[in-house]
Amino acid sequence: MSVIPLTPSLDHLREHIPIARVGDDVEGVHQVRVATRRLDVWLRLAGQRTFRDDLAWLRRGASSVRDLDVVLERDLPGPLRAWLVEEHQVARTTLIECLDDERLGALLIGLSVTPPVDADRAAARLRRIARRCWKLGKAAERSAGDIERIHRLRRALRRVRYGLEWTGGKAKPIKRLQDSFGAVNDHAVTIALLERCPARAGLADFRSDLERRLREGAAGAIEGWRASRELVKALR
Amino acid sequence: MELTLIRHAEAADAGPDGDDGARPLTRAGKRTVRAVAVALARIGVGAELLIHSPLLRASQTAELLVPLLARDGETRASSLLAESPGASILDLLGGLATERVALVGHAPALSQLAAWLVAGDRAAAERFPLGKGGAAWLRGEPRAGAMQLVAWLPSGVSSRVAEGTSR
Repeated sequence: MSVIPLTPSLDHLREHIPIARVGDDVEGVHQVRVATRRLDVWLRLAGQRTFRDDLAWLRRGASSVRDLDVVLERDLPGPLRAWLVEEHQVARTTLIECLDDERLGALLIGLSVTPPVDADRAAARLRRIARRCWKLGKAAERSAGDIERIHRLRRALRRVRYGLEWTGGKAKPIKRLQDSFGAVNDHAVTIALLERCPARAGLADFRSDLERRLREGAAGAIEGWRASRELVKALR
Repeated sequence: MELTLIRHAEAADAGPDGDDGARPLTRAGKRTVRAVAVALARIGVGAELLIHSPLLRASQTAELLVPLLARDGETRASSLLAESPGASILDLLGGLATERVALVGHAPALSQLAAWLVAGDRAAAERFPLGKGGAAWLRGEPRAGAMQLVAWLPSGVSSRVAEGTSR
């Protein structure tokens, strides 16, 4: 019987928690978030609910910092940048609280004693994940640029990709497809932050430009999906 | 708050590495927990939050109790449930916004916690003997001596409730 242990991603998470805590290298937080996503997919492949909410909790802490890290790499109007730098400090404080919480220690202990998943069962569950992705793809195609539906498809594609990585399938073509969705998320995150910025009233032109780029990104993502959707169809 | 304490069911012996935390539930243990889940649901126990010890036998017990969770309910791992109860567990419970909580843990910590919450005395644990797969349903404020015992379900009772029979 072939089995798939979760060890590689658990080790990856453990390795990057101290780097995320120090905060000098943005990769630390980024890789913590990546590891939580990979582990979440592993738990889905194992049909396991426990620890997924703990991973989601840690991911929220990491995402609040990582999203700001990414946005701060953009060319931004001064008032928005100044506010985002303050928000980044707040998000880092919240993340450090997560990293110091006993819940994280419990999560790491729990994952370290979780037995590997049977490869055949994981493969069957991956087919289910692919079926869901296919449905979300069809819904996104019909939605005429509905950003929320595109986000759902983007997240589903990521699950398919990680599922393929766990089960030894060919993940690279899905990753390329997933990349075509990246700009959509970057613009959407920036708009969501802009909505909370106290100086937003004076940034209407910047926002219009972002919204235009978001629409273009969404159209490009759907185009990419249409061109490569057979990859997902074949996995169902 | 409605608080349900559930002790993990029968677990296998430790493997060659001797890791107590990695002991899985036995087949009989899994059967017991499934009956506990049915019995608790039948008497009206549910949870918005299921907090469990991270040790494998407890997380596997929690996994089988997931059907008790409300639709948007959450699970949470906590090392506080793998040790004797102290102020931290009361702080955790007191700080929750949820009204219905289930805890999955070990002996004698859960008996000590039940004694503390109901009788106000952790040392009275022998009056609250939770066997493997046993459950205690409490109601009240999660403070020392401020909860009432609503139901006490040894695993044998849960099995009979699940089967729809009684002695």
